[in-house]
Amino acid sequence: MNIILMRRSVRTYQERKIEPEKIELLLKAAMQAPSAGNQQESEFLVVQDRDTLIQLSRMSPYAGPIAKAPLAIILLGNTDRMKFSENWEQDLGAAAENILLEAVNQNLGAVWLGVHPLADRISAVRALFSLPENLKPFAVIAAGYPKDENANHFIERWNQERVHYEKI
Amino acid sequence: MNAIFNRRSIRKYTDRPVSREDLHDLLHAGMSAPTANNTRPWQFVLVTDRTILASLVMDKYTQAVKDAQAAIVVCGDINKDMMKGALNIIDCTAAVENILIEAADKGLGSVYYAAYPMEDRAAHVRKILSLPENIIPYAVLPIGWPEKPLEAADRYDTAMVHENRW
Repeated sequence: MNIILMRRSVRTYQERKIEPEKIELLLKAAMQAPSAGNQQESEFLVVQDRDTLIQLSRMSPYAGPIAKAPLAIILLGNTDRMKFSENWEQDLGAAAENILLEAVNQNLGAVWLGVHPLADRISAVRALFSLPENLKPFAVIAAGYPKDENANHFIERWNQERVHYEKI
Repeated sequence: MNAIFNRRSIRKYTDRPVSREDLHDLLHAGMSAPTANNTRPWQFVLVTDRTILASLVMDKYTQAVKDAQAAIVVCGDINKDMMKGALNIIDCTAAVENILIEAADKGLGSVYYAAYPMEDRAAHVRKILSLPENIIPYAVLPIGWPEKPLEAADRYDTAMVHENRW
C-alpha cells in the first residue's frame, strides 16, 4: 500500500493548524490498533498549546521538532487497564504506527519520538504534565502540514537479506 | 484510512492459497516501518511449510497458525539494538502493525500473536525455527484469506483523549 511505503519521518512543518477533524482521525486510527486480549490500554494527550509544546521539546536532544509543530500527541499506557502488562509496548507501538500512517493519508507529516524506555525522557514528560502514577508515557508524535510538500515520498527499504524461508 | 479501520484479528481462514507476491508485499510493508535511529533491526522468517506451521503453534491461544496459509515471524537482532533489546520490541511492533494493515488492505486476515516477552512462547519459536542466540522472535503472524469478510468496528472513545493538560 502506497501510504505505508511513502511514510517518512517529517520534522519541519508549516505554521498552519491541523483541522480538529483530522486530529480526531489520527486518534481514531490509533484506537483501531490491536492490543493484547483487546485490553485497549492506550490514552492520548493532545497538545497544541505553544508554550507546552516548547517545554515538551526539551525532553530530549532529538525532540526539537515538537517546538515548532502545531500538534503533539503523547501516547500513554494506562496500567489500570493492563490485563497483559508485558505486552503494553507492543500495543502502544501499534497505535503509534497507525497514527503515522493516518497522518500520511491526511497529507500530514509526522515523526515518532521515543520516550519509553529512556528514564530521563519518561521523567521529563511525567513532570511536565504531572501525570498520575497509572499513566506511563510511551512516545510523542509531532505532526503538522509538512514544510516540504514532498516530505512523504517513497524510499526503497526492501532488503532480501532480512528474509528467511522456513528456517534461519 | 480504510485498511486501518477494517483491520480485525482474523483467526479462521479458507484453503485458498496466498500468492508469493502478496506475501512479498506484506514483508515490504514491514520493512517500511520506522525504527529508532533508522537501525532497522529486524529479520523475518516466512513460513509456508504445512508441518512447520503446525508446529509453530505456541499454546492454546495461538491455534490459528496451523490453519493459516503462511506465517510471518517478526524477529529483532539484539546486536543491532543500542539498548540490548529494549528498543527492538518497539521497532518490531511498528513492522508488525504495517504488515497487519497491508494484509487488511488486500483483504487478507491475520492476528497479532506476541512471542517475546512471553519467555515460553519465544523459546518455542526459537526451537522450531532454529533461531540464533541474537535473534529474538517478537511476533508470529498467521496469514490467510478470511472465512468471513473484514468489517469495520468503531473503537473511538473520547474518554481516552485529553487536551493540553491531563
